[in-house]
Amino acid sequence: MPEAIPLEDFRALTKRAGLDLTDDDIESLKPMYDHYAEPIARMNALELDAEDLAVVFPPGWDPEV
Amino acid sequence: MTTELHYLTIGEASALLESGQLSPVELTRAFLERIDALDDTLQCYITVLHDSAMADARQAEAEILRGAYRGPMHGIPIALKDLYDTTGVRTTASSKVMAARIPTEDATTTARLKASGAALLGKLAMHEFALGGPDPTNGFPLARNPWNLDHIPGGSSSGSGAGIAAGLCMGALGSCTGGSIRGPAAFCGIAGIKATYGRVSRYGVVPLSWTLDHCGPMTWTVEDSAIMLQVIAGYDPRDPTSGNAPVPDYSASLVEDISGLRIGVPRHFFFTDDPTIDKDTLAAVDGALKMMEDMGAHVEEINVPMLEHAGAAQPVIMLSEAFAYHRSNLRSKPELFGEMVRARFRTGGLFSSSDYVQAQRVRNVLKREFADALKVVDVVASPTMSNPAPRFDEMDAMTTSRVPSFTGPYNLTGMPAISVPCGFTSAGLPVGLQIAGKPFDEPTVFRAAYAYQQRARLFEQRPAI
Repeated sequence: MPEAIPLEDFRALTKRAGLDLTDDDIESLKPMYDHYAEPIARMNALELDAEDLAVVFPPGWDPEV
Repeated sequence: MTTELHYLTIGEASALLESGQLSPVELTRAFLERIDALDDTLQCYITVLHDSAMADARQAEAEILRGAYRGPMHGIPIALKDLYDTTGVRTTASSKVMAARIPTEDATTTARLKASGAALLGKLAMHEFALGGPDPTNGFPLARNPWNLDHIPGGSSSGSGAGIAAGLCMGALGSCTGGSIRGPAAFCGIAGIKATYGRVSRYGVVPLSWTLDHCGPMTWTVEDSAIMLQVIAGYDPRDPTSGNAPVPDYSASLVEDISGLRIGVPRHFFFTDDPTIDKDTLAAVDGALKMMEDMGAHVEEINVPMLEHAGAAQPVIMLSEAFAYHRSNLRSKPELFGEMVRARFRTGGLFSSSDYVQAQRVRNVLKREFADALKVVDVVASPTMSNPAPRFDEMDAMTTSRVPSFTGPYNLTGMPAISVPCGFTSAGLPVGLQIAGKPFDEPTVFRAAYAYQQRARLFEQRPAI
């Protein structure tokens, strides 16, 4: 289980996202972020194969779309 | 006629309408009167279109009388989740952000339903921007579950689920990013199908997450879902994610024979001893699988290891994409969002780009694993939801995130997935059976769900309202 992100680091994260939050906002939002942190850490620990792509850019161009 | 008009199915009503035994005007009026009588309590509608619905019905009546019958949706009273654009009719996504938004064009699905001759009763309640939850801070109606008014009807297509179950419309459209069609279908004891990604146009539908959003019908029976999907499915050049595979005749798949059908069950994910999973739900679904086995289907366990990470990948993708769409408003006028959705959208801005990329990679592995499993089985079955409908007083922004999502995996894979009622908990709340299939193989999904429905006959029970 990852360590919970320190409050000041979390505040920096919200600023980086362009969110202008009050202290109360930050305190109420942090538990939600913390809730996702552990399953995301486990997901990020997966070693996937090089051919397991994220998204594929289709090179064709349909001018109708 | 012994069945009250508002409890006819689309299939039953369309036969009566076509033969002239039932007037579309009489039918639509019955629904409008029922809405007037009950919706103060049930809160299913954001907008009721009394005048235009009656105009639609009168037009249908005139056309049918002169022999210009358009098909099984002609004269059928329907309603739309309030994120489907409707020309000249306010479309809010249940948010103050869009409270005054009046589209100048119909969504493709709206246009197709209008062209089918359906009568549009109104626009249905939903969770804010298809995510928020039943949030009293956003100022819009909070639909209630007709089986027990203290419980939510599920979401985000809350008004669609409650409205169908209560007989306030015959068919509805929901939208689904992580389970918003199948969830309320399960909680309200109705049928609802999320068609394959790309099967139904999303043009003119307020987005939540571009790569996860799906559209689909919600109805009382599987047959009715097939009728509605037939009308709205098909290629749309205005939706860049639209698929152009031919649309089959879904009614042809509505047969009661499932002998030889191979049903895969990933028990390692859906039937664990996780204490947050409701035992009544698992028992009801096990009972349904046993019934399908008795009908001649082969039920077998399958293994889909990446399901373990679906619960991380789905919210990362959904909330990241939602943040991208709402970023400007979240920064400039956050007060217009309800508290629940504002918090969840903000969280989407905090994930990293590598989180998002990894989630998309996991998604592709999950899709491949399901593709491999579906070489051996025809459909995959499970509970639709891990728990029955929560009470309103249990709800906060994270309530649904604290229990496993059984629907989200199929938003990640894009597979078609339906929920069909399969029983009740000891507290009398409906339980749904989820059946998913291969991409664009809605017919096999319909076949399995229809055969089970016809044997179980749970559609004969309506909530006491």
